[in-house]
Amino acid sequence: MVLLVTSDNEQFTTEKDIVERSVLIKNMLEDVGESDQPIPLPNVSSSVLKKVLEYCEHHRGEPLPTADSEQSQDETRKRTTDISEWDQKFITVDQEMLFEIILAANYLDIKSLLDVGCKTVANMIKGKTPEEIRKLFNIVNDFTPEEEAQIKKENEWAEDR
Amino acid sequence: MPEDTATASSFPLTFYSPTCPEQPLPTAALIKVFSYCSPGDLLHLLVTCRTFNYILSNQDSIWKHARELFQPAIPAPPASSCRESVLASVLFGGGRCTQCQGLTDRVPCSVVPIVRFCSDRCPKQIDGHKKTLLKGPSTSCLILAEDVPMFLDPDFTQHLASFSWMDSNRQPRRCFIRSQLRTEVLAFKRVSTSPAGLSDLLDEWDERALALAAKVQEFEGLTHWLEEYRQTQKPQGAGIINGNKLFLHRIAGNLEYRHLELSPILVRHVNAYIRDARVMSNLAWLSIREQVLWDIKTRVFPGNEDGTAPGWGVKCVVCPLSISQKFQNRDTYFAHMQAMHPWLIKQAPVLNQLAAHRPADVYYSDEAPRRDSRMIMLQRPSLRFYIDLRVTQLMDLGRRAFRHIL
Repeated sequence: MVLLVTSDNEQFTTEKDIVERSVLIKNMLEDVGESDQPIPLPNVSSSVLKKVLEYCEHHRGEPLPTADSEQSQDETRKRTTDISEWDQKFITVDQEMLFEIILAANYLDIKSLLDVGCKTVANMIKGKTPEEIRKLFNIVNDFTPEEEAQIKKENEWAEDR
Repeated sequence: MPEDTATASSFPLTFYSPTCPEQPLPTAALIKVFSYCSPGDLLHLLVTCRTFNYILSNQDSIWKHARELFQPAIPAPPASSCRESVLASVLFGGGRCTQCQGLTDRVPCSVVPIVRFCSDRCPKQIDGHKKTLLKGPSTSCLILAEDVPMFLDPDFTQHLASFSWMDSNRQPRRCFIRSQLRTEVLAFKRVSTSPAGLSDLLDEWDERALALAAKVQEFEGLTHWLEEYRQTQKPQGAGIINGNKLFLHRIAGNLEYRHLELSPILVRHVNAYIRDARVMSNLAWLSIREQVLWDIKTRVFPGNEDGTAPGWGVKCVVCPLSISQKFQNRDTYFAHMQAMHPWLIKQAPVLNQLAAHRPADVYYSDEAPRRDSRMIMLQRPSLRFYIDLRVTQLMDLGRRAFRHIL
């Protein structure tokens, strides 16, 4: 049993093999050893952690991607951007939660969850114009018109027939 | 991509989630997001904001991933001649239509030289009734200089449309981009009165053709990819549906159009062919054409009274080779059929008799199709002369023109 404390001071009790999908926590547990002390997660709120634990529980027992499998993982990624059905359902959340999940997955170092989140964002970007993308991510266009023209020019096909 | 994280994290983070402005999305995650995007999306992201631009301009691996992730996978750009982002931009960034100069988002038909059309129809508008049903836009973007007799014809403009294509099997030796043909013709007309200017122009063309040939070779992989991509993108039977009448007219060869009108069943039949025409190679298209021709033969000209020709409902048997240039006439064709496909002959026992009893004015589908329509046109008296635009002959002509002026 592992005790986790979120940023809003909520305590979660989970099993070790669930929470060890997070490389961060796994390393922490290895460093600290058996202890009753709760693990503080100052960057993760309780609502997000609940979601993350749900993911970890569903995928418990699956082999963790290791550094060795990086290569083969790359291969699979090349082949597809598809998300499995359960993950698809899991990640169907509002945009705020999606970002929080990505942040948490990045912080907790859960590679597969980060992948799912990033694929989802990539799917949201798909087919959108730059203006629509700005709207989607709440970004301001910080280019001057000259810069924009410059970028276009840099990437132009040199057509000397 | 851990190798990217280190370099990217040094850049200040300015990317924020919509509702949580105090917490930026880490660059590592952004790079991950980008690596799942398509090349077209990356181009959009490139001009979205400075952060994205910075990341994308400095991470060629993202572009590479996008390229490899694409279906079908895009081959790598030839080393040294262009960057990944430039390749993506030429393929998915859109540009001007070669034909009408309008802006279009479509993927080009060819990258060397760059040719793209804003719609399937655009190239056809100029081509008119020519080869639109037989050749895709890709093969009609270049014109062999020797195929342009109106270089020497004063009223060339009215023939311009008729000569805007080239055989796909031929090497683009000295060729022009079709949309620029007019400019070339004008340039030629300007110098055609002076031998010196003429030889300069010819040298220039030669040089350009050589450079082009080298570049074509360099981008061979990409050309193959474009071919493949077009096959996947081809809307079902589109471009063919326009103009059933044109289709009927074309396939009928030298049959008269009213013959076809006589047979509503045939028209319906042809329409069904057209409707069901899926993504097809030229070969498949030609063989359908052959079948339709067979129907014309059997239905519009429903057979001889002595029973030597088939009546209704006869299935067509066509050797796919019959549509290649291998068979110059019906004798070679039937020799081939007898030697190689005796069972086909058995299936269609009338084939032999058919060959013997052919009315002179009927085009049979089991013959080699007429591939000489261009030659016929060239021999038309309205074209006062057709001169091969080979250098020697052209020089001769230039000299003669010069003498004439003197």
